[in-house]
Amino acid sequence: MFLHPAPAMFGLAFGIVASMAPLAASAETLLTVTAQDEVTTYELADLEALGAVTIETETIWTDGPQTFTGVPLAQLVAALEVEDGVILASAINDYTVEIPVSDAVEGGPIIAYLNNGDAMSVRDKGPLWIVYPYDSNPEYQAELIYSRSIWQLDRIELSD
Amino acid sequence: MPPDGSANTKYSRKTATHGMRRTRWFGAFTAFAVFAACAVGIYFLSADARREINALATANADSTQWALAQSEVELLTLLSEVRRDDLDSDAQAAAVRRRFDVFYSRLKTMRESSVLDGLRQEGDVDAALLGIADRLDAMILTIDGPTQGLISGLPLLAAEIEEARPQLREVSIAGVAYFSHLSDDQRARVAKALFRLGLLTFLLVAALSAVVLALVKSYRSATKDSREKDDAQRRMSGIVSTSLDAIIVVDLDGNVIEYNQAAERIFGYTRDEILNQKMSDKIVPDKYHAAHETGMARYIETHEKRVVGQGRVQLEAKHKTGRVFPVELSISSADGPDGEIFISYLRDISTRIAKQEELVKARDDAVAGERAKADLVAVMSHEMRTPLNGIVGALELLKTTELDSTQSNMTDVMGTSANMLLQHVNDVLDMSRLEAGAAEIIKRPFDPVAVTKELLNSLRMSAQDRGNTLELTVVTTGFDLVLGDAGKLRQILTNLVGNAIKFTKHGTIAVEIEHHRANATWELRVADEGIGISDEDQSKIFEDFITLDPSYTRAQEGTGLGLAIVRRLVEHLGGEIGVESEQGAGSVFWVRLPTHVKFDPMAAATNSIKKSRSYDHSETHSALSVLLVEDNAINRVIAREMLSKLGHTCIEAHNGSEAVELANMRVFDAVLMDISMPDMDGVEATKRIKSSGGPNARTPIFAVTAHAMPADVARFTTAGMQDVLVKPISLDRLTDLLSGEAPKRQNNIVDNQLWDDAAVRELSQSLGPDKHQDLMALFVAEMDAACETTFAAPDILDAAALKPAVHKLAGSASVLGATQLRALLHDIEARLDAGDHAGATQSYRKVTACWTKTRDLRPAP
Repeated sequence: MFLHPAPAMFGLAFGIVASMAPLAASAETLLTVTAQDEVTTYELADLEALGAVTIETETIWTDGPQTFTGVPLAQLVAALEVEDGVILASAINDYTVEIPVSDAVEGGPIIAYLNNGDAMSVRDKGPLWIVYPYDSNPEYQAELIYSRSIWQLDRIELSD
Repeated sequence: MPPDGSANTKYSRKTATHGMRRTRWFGAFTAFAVFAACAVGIYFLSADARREINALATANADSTQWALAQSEVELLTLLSEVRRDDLDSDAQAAAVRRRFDVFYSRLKTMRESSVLDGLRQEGDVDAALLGIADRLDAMILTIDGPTQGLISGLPLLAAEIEEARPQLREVSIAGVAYFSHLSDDQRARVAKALFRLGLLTFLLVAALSAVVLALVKSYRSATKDSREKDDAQRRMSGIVSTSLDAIIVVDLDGNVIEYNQAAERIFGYTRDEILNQKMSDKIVPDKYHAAHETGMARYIETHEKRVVGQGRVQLEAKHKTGRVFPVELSISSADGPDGEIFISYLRDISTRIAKQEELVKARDDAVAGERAKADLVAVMSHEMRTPLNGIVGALELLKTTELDSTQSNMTDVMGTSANMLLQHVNDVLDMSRLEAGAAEIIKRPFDPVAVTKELLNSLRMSAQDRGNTLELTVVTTGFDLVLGDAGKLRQILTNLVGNAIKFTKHGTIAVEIEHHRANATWELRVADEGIGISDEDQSKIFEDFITLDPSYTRAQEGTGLGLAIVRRLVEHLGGEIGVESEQGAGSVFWVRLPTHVKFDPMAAATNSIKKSRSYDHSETHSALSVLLVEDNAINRVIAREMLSKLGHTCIEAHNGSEAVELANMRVFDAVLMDISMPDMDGVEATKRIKSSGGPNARTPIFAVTAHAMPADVARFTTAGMQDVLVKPISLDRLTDLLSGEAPKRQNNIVDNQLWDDAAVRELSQSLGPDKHQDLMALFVAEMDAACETTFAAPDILDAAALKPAVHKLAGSASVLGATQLRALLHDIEARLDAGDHAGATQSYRKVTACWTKTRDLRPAP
């Protein structure tokens, strides 16, 4: 009885943000990739162009089953013609994790830009979130993988 | 079925093996189950442990706590952006909006994250989070509003954020406590899971160790078993291959399945040649082939063991070359892997058989040699006695002539020497006779008292010469006749009494006779008062060829064989001899002899009547008419002289045929028949005289010979001779013989039994008791009738009419075994034949009395 009003307000707030976000983000740079001192920026359309997959999984941070749509990390890595090394992924709040390039495999992590079919605002861990298909591979249900599942991602640096 | 319990034993052994195998199987199964259980347990436990560890990792609070702390950092970052004053409005508004969004996202995550579900249940955490969310929601209008409004609302925002901080702090602190608890629990669970895993692993290791130990033990035991089996196998094959006996093993089909080196040597076949071949084709001689096959077939069918398991059997076997040779074999059967097998041990015994034959031949040769020696001794004695006969006889005659004192002394010396020499020859002959065990066992009735008395009389002179007196004491009165050999008794007495006389001077030689009727023996004791015999010598004096104490032997004249001969004589007669002596006081020699007389009053009485007469030393013996048959002139002269000295008349014949001729011409009272004569010998002449039916058919004929071996004596008696007079003839012996025979002319009944028990028994058995009784009844009727007629008033003039009747009755009496009656009737018959009417009449008169006795005592059939 005490909890009820809050989600309602949250929902209301989300509704506003969600309706605003695609508009605001339509020409926004979502991801900045630095590879071999070369900086590439990706807008949503650029990311979509790299090929989208949708995975369904639960996460430890959310409640209930989720669908995520995004670019497979493997695709991105392939597009950047990187074969090994680490990916330094950083968030808006400058949280940074190291993801080995070897993680970028088919059926592996994706850079999600849709959660349950909607674009993600910063308040909803958007705009980009690296999600592993935790349910489909038990190996992904590990603390290390959880730590690599960076949300509010906005830049990637590739180093050999 | 095997006759023993071997089948049972085998069965139980098999069961034991089974049991062992089952135990092993059980053990293996148990071990496997334990392993499987452990493996499953470890699998689950390790999965559990891994899950727990994963959970630990998943629940690892570090990152979550970091996230909680980060939320504070995010809030502070937002606060610091709100409070900034170094940026223009738009930049600050963008920064504040971004930081707000970041914190908003963070808070949302804190409210939704499943990782924090537990934390949110703790205390006021959820309320605090809700409180913060409310504040944020309240701020959204300002944040999302126009930049101007945002900038102006910043102090208000700062105150709101400041107020949210302690709430967030509260959540963060609760999170630290919660997650540290959580990880403690988790660690405990992990520890527990690991402990369980460790425990189970330990158990598995222990079980594995136990199994390894068991396997090692089992391996060792198996190795040992196998080694022992190998050893046994090696030993067995060693035994088989080194056996000196051939070992052949065949199966039920008769095929050879084992064949050792000795067998190769003995049979000539190599192992390869004979293995898996039929044994019978190879080594069984052809002539036994059929028998062998039959035997095998019979064994298989009936399992009756004839050779198998019967120990050593002697058979013949065949060599590869076809040579048949004797073997000794034993066969046993055993259970082989494919049924019963037969194990034969064979030994070639050709050599042994040959050796045995050699031994037998050697023994035969030795025996023949001994016989040749005995023959030589006999021939020697004969050759020596004949000339001695001449010397002794001539000296006896010479003594009866007129001699001066010197001549008389010389003849005495010659006589003594000749007698001594004769004694030596006799001793040696006796010895060889007894040694050969060839002396005839004679059992004739005689009166030992009479014989002893007679002998003592003949020794009285020599006793007197040494100042000794001879005494005879008959301890048991009413002494009976005994069965035995009076001649040998005389020899024994001569030796014992002769010795007593020799070793006693001026003393008494006491002879005692005692009859032990209870144990059918009689005892003769000769006691002297001579020098005696030491205890040591007492045990030796009867031994053969033992050199005695010189004082004893020196004093003794003769060969020194005297007592050895006496012992042999006594043993020959079935008696025993012993001595009791004290040196200086004298000796007592005792002899115990069997009487061989069953106590039978009738027989004793009859014997007594007849024999006492025959040994009665009647002084009124009549002059006899003797036919002397002798080819040797000297012997003839001596014998004739002796006979005439005894008052008998004699007609001489020079050879056998003359004797037969003379015997046919007239009746003699006795015939002295030399044996060795040219032309016709004494035995042949006797046969002719006896079978001629002439006047001397029943006249006693005495053999006169140096051939005194038992076989000879048997030959003489078979020919019908009465007795043997061994050369040289002595007056005493001649007197004995002829005086004994004199009464026989009056009473020729030899047999003294009324009924011959053996004959009666035999008749009863062959006819059957009924027939026998009928026959007996018939005979009784006939005899009774004859006694009333023929024998009541015999008409001696009508001999021709009488003879067939007597003959018929004699035949019947003979068949039925009426011995005495038969003899009497035969006597009558003979006398009628001989024309002796007076004798016949005398015998007639006895028939009725004899018949009465015979009838009364006739045996029940």
